[in-house]
Amino acid sequence: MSIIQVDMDPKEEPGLYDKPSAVMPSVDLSVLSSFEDPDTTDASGLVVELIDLYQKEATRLLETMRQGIETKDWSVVKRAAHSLRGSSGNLGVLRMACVCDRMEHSELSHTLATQLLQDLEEEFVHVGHILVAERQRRCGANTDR
Amino acid sequence: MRILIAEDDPISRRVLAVQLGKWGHEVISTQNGLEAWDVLHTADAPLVAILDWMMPGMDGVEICRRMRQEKTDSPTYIILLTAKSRKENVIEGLEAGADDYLTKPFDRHELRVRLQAGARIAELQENLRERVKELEEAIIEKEHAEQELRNLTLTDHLTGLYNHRGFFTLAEHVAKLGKRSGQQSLLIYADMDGLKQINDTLGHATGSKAIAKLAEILQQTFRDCDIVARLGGDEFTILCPNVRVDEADRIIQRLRDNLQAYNNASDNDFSLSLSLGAVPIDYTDNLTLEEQIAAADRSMYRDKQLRKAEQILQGNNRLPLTPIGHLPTT
Repeated sequence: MSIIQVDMDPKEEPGLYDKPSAVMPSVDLSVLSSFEDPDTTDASGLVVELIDLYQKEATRLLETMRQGIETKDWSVVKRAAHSLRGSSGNLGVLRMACVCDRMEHSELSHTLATQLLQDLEEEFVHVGHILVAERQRRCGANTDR
Repeated sequence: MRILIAEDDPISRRVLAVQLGKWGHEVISTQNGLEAWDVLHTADAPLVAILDWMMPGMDGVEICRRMRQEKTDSPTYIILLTAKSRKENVIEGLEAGADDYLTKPFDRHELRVRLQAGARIAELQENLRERVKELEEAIIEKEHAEQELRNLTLTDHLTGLYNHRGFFTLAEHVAKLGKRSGQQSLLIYADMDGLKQINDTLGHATGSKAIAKLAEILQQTFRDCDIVARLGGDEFTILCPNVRVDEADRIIQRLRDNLQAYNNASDNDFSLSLSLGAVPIDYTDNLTLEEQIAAADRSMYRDKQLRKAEQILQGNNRLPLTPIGHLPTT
């Protein structure tokens, strides 16, 4: 958690969100692991549930952003970016959170917004690989659970 | 403890709900501000609420603002949980009425201790509310007890005259004596004029003073053996034992003179005036005391009407005597 705390609370140092830092991982898996519940028989149950929720939610919010950019409705774009930043931060999806923060807090132009959305979509593909691998690792062969 | 969560982001909502559940709290999850608002207005609303700032319907800050406007006696402890982490956001949130502020993604240790602090305050508040309720109930009970005690006493608290109960107790006693001795009594019914006007213009405290002053004049006017009572409000009765009907005018004139003497003094806040009715009681007609009081009341009412008419016609305040000769029969 402490890593996120530092990275997600950069307001005292403007500019930290300008670009995800080179050393920043796409996903801090220790955050996901913190949702394991060793007291239950299905220790990874919540982690898997959250991964599924995140993928669904992120897909929806990226689509909202795309539509918002098309119509240049920046409040819609920023709202969606705000939501995705929250979800991403909660699960340790750090780089996505960083780019969302830029989208939320920058003076948006069509060019910048399109660029940021493209960054987000590329990063989301990358994050997807990591999360699917993590999900499979936790569910074993039974991917349907 | 029951905790309300309002959060539109399903992941934050789920994470929060799971975390709170682990700590043994009962969680009520809502997806937007309007749902949260409804839950906060149920009879058994949770004492602590964790609200997201940005939500569809009604945002967390708006909920804070409106909740604080309501000034309920059991205010909800509200923690704003939001990704808005700038200093001005924190200030705006707290100014809107949030009790505490946490930024997302939340640190669970921080949330746990902040919730502990919140729960402590919420419980103190709840205890205080219970205590105030108990005290209010105790005050009402005490007032009831005092009223009951008053009902058991024979004298009127404000004037020191006999009260309704005192009057009836003593009047029954006089009736017994009267029946045995065959002596007549005089029953006077007196209604204070203009008490409402005094209350309305000078206040109820002055109204009470006027009633007390009137009682004083009544006590000065009548003999020690007469039973002077305040039946309630602005109504008085006087029972004068061993008084013949032809003495009535003189007695009533004495009362009017005493009132006039008081009114002539220049330093009074108010002037006093009475409408009076009187009936002779000879104890052979087997009328009840209530019936005799009712007869005196009717006689008083005629006096009041007469006086009003006379005041209108003559524009003077000289009050005529009650026409004892035209007493109604019951």
